[in-house]
Amino acid sequence: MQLANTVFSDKTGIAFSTLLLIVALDVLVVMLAVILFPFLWKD
Amino acid sequence: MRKSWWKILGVLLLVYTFIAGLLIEVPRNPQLEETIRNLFFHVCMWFGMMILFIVSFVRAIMYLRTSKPIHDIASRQYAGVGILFGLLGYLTGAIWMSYTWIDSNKSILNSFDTVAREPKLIGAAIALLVYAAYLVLRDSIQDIDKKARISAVYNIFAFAMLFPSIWIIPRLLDSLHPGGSEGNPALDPGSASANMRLVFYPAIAGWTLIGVWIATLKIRMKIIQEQKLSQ
Repeated sequence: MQLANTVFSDKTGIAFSTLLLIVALDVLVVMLAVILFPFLWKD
Repeated sequence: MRKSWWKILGVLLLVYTFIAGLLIEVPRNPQLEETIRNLFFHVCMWFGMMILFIVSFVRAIMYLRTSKPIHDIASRQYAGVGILFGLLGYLTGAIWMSYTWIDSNKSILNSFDTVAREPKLIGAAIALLVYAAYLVLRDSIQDIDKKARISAVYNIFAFAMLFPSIWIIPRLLDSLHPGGSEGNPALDPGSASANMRLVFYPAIAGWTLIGVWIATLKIRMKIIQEQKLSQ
């Protein structure tokens, strides 16, 4: 198990830029949802 | 006639694009050869698509602010023409790819296996499918006001996803497509020759103007349809 972790350690890591992009996309979607939600229910 | 100058300009620019684009002297790149001329069609159609989606997005915001049906109709029609341009861009890209990426020593299916994993293609397919879902969503709602409201909100989400799926994510990954992590060669004055830029920029304007013209015609047709229905 220890051997397997060592072998795959560089394959399973996520690049910081990728992580940042995913977080930025999530923030964007949540922000848009908060802004646009009232418009869906406007009379 | 005075109001139609931009339509005439659009037609003239496209005539120029087709004639000059096919006849002009282009740089001799052994990998690309004559396929480099696809820049005037494929890339410019995608530019046109982006501009049409931007207009659709702005009209969606204007609808949410004012609730005027004209903005909803315009938003829908600009998105529709944007999708059409996207499909044409995909088609011209596929023709270009069949000469540059496909390995002639392998069977088509084996080469397709490599090409289908191309991040730019996947990103573009996601973006177009997101917009296709916009059309499906619209047609699935009967109530006119609800349809306009929900589709305007969805349009804004679709536009927000357009940039990451086409411009950001594919550039983070290794790609065969020009304009990957090394920047966009079409817009780099050091990459595209002066001759090509003479056709490239007018071609962007020409394709965009034709797209806007088609969209305005569709908007007018839709308004007439609505007026007939309300009579």
